[in-house]
Amino acid sequence: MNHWQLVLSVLLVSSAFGLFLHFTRGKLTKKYSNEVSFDQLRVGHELGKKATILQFKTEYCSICPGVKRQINELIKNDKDISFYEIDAVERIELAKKLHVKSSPTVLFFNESGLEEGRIIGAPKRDQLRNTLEKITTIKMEKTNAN
Amino acid sequence: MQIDARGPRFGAAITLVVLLLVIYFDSPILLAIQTLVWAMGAFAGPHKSPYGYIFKTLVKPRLKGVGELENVKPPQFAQLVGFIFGVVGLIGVAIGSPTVFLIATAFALAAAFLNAVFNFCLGCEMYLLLVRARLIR
Repeated sequence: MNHWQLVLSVLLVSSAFGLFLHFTRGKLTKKYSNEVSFDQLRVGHELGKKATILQFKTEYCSICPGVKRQINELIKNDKDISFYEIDAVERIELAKKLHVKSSPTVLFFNESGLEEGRIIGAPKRDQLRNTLEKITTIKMEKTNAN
Repeated sequence: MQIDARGPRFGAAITLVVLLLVIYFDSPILLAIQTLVWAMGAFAGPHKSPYGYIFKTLVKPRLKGVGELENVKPPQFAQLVGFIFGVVGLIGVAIGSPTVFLIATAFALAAAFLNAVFNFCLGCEMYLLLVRARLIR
């Protein structure tokens, strides 16, 4: 293998991995399990009347503050949706229980406290809105906030 | 300490170009210079490396909007990982093994490419895994 074949191979493998991340992160994935309800998790916060959003962050996550702003902007007019931010390192046991492996991970719980799904990585704005609309059947306000 | 999260990505883009040149010219000297840059990033912080300085003085003032801030530790650790690859590559040159030189450079190239193109910092992810495993703080 000459030098350029090596470079090409490295770039091809890296591109495949990068594209995989690009197309999988930030999208709603199915719930991991619904064996444990929100109340049983002892999150330390109350369940929202219509839905609850948990965002796991870490001190080292650069995109987490932006995700938090985005969620706050989206739910600012809806008091029935609760949103809590949790430090995955400080609450490592909770993170393990919920199979949270990276930050940000945003989990959606329905009014019964069961997980409806999760978004790993920075959520796309429409994805976030659609998910909340699906869970709560509330028509979310469209916003241009990032 | 918090730094502009766009800075390390800019540094990765320059690193990517430098590493392509290292392979094109088969140049241990260029790799040594890049290793020195990684050393500065690893031990003084990425914002204090030459690429961080270029970003701060020439690039950032021309960027629109305010970038997200990030803790300096993960990108600093990533610089350390780059430094280790650089040292391994140079050891390869010293012991007369072009394969070691090429493979170490190729690994660093892949990491720089992922960061520059996809904004995925491999070294930062390694740092987070080590923090989660409570191996470092």
